[in-house]
Amino acid sequence: MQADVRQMLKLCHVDTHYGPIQILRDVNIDINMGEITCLLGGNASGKSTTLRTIMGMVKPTSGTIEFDGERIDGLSIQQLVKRGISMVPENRRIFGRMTVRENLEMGSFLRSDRSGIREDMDRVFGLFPRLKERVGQLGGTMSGGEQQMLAMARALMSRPSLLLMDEPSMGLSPLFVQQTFDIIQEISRQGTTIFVVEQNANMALSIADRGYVLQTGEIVLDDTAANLRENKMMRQAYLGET
Amino acid sequence: MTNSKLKLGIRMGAYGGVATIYLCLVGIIETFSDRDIITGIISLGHTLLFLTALVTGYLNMQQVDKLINPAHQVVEKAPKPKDTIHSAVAGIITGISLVILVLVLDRFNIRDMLVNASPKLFELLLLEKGVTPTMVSLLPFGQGLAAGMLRLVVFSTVLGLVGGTLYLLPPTRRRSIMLGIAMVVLLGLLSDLMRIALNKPGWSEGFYKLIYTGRGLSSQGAVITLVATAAITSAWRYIPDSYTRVISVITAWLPTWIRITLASLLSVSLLLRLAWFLGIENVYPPILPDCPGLITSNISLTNCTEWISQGLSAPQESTEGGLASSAPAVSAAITLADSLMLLGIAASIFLLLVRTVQMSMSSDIQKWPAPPLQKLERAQRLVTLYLGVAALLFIPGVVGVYPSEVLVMVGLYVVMGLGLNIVVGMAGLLDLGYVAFFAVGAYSMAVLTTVDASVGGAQLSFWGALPLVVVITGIAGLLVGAPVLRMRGDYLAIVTLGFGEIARFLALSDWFKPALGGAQGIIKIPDIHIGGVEFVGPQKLYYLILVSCLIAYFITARLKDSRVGRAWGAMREDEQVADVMGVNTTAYKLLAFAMGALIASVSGAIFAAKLGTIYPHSFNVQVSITALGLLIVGGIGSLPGVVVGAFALVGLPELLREFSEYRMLFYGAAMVIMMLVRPQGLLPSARRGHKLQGNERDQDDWMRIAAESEAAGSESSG
Repeated sequence: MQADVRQMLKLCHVDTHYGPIQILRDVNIDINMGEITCLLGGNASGKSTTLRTIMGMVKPTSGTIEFDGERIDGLSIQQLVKRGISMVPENRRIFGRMTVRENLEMGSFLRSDRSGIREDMDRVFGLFPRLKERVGQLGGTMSGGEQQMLAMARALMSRPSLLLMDEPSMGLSPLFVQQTFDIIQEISRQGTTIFVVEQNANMALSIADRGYVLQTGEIVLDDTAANLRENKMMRQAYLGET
Repeated sequence: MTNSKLKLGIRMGAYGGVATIYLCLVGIIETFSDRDIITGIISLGHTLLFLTALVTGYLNMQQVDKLINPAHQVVEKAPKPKDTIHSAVAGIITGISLVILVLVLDRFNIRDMLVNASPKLFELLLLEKGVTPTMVSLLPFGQGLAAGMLRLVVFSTVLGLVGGTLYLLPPTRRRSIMLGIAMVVLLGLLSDLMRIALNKPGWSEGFYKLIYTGRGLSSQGAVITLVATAAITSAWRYIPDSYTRVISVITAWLPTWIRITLASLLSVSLLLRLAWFLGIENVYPPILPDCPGLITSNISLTNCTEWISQGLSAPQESTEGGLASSAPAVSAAITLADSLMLLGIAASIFLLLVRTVQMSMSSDIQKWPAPPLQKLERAQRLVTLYLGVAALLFIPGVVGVYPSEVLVMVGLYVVMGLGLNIVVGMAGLLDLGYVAFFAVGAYSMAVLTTVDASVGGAQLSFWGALPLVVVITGIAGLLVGAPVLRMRGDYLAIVTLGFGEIARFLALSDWFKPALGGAQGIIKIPDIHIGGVEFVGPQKLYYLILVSCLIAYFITARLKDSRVGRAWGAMREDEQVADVMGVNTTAYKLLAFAMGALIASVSGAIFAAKLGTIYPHSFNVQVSITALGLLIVGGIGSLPGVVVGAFALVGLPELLREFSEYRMLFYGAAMVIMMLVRPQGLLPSARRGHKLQGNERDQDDWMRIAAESEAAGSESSG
């Protein structure tokens, strides 16, 4: 790992509530530029809420979020998308009654540079040749794996510098999970910083540079991916060792 | 298998029986028996009665087909002629159900409970009433209760059999027979309308007298309809081809100057007629010529010159100022343009004939070579557009006052439907209170323009008020939209339903009485003028509505393919994800409400000016329901569907006014049938037509292919 890493996203002492119920407690996360960072945790540990908090879909009750050195908590989603944050939602959630092309166009909704959009369209078709074949097909008629690709491609269409992914492996066959993670690595290699939330700890740690483990809304472990893979508690709780 | 087929027959027969008994006891059969389909042969009531048996037989055969040949794959397993016996069984059961009804009617007095179980119904069921005496003498089994019951059973059985046989016919023949029957029923139903449209001096009168008696189709009219429908349906697939062919011959072989001259002459003639029609009150326009030779094909010059001279000296009843004073000149110009056009057509036919003769004489020229494809396509588009516009412009003059009134109502609902389509179809916000915007449009127009001194006072003209009305209603749209921003689906529907009612009650309230007139409404709303032309009466309002429809259609069509349309689409699909994509869902929701509102306001404004007086009671929840219903019937999100839906839900009921007590019944039945048989609507937008589940096999294929390629990849690398 390089010494002169630049911080891209920084969560400082973030608390998030849904009504009276506290979901996140004093969460601190640093995401370095160009890296793949993963957030692991079981059901109901607050993983998705962390993403929703970053994306501005819920406002943190206290703490700060910084992106590229500027505070972004309190900004609207549109402003965040314009600044270069993009999200692949949980369960893919592509627009079923729109064609693949229209889905991708929705991804670039806030952009107006036509040539740039065309470039990015070609770029995602390079990453996902399957989508190019099916460009006129309705999203809802595609298989789960294709939909996952479409969801990722759609998120890339806003040309994000930070890509948030919520459980990309959910509901996919092992073959597709492998493919999906290969593509995540490819996206990272092309220069996009990635923050991925996963239950599949094995898979996530195999591609990540750094990992956080969330338990009932608190960060309990925070280390490089390599160290986490060796961590005894981690191995027992999440990597399936007895 | 036979056993289950038999059971099926009995079950379908029972369904048919229940349906017919229901129709009888609701009173439909009796009411409808006053209306003739074919005069002296069958009334609408009996048609309905017998159609039920026919449909039962048909549906039974369909079920049998499904039972023995589920996937339509094995030809040998398809139902055979002997299976029609089961349709006959269904018919018998239907007949027996009716016999039971007859017996009950004979023995017991159930009229206290079921008011429609009248003696007349009894006689209708025995076929002793509702048919002419000559028909009665022709009926088998003679008179009396037993004979009547036997007749019922025999008729139902035969009809069941016929229905079953119909299903077994090859599709083309089946379609032409079914369409023929449907056309006979439809033309019989529309006999009043046809009388208005056709029964006026000229060739149309002869046609009318041939097809119709005063009350329904004549027997030769029915036969002609059946034969003509069969002929047209069998020729149907050739029609587009021959159309293209005619146009291709014309574009290739008529000199350009003739084509341009003909087209411009036709335009001049049409425009002059239009000016005549709009500018001169109470004078019937010289709609297409009464030149007798044109129809009977022996074009004699004397006939036509006579007609032309008549045309030149024609209608001068109106002596009003303005356009009317120029009536003789306009009339002369029209006649001149028409005669020139006829000459031109004759000349071009002559040219083409010469060409044909030349071709048959010399063997070097074999066929009509086609013009270049691009040119042909353009020519075809132009001709179709031209004919379409001409047809739209001339409907009111041709059909007369009452049908034009119906068209105006349909048009008002088309505009409203297009607006609601933005809210519901494009943005996915289920609005059940859409009438509120229609009401705001109508009321603001009324307040701004009324010359009644007790309310309002601005006394603007229609055109002066219209922009204000649109703005006011747009703001109303925002006001309604704002509080419901966070609601979705059912909650939104309930709240908007409430808003619709609130609008009506506010207009009714004493609180607003000084401004809105309370229950008495607002009177003395002036008519719409453009220059010297006064848009009074449905035939002239039609043009105004037509223009509004076209504008609304254009706007919504453009919105659909725009960035805004896509944002709405995404919002409809998944609001949260649309948000994540950067769509400002709050703004777009408000925009949808406002756009929908301002389109509805135009409809409301014309409505107010059309009636001259508006009351709160015109704006009840039924308007909202109809507007939503026409979207559902036409296919939500589809623009042509809006037009089709408006004709089906507004046009048809207006034409069948005398059955208005059953209007809601049919309406409900139509909705239920639509949802069961064709949930995507009559003219679905391409997108909704796709079945999302249809491609599962495809997906599995992909899984397999991906897995195989993966395996191949690992082999080659390993």
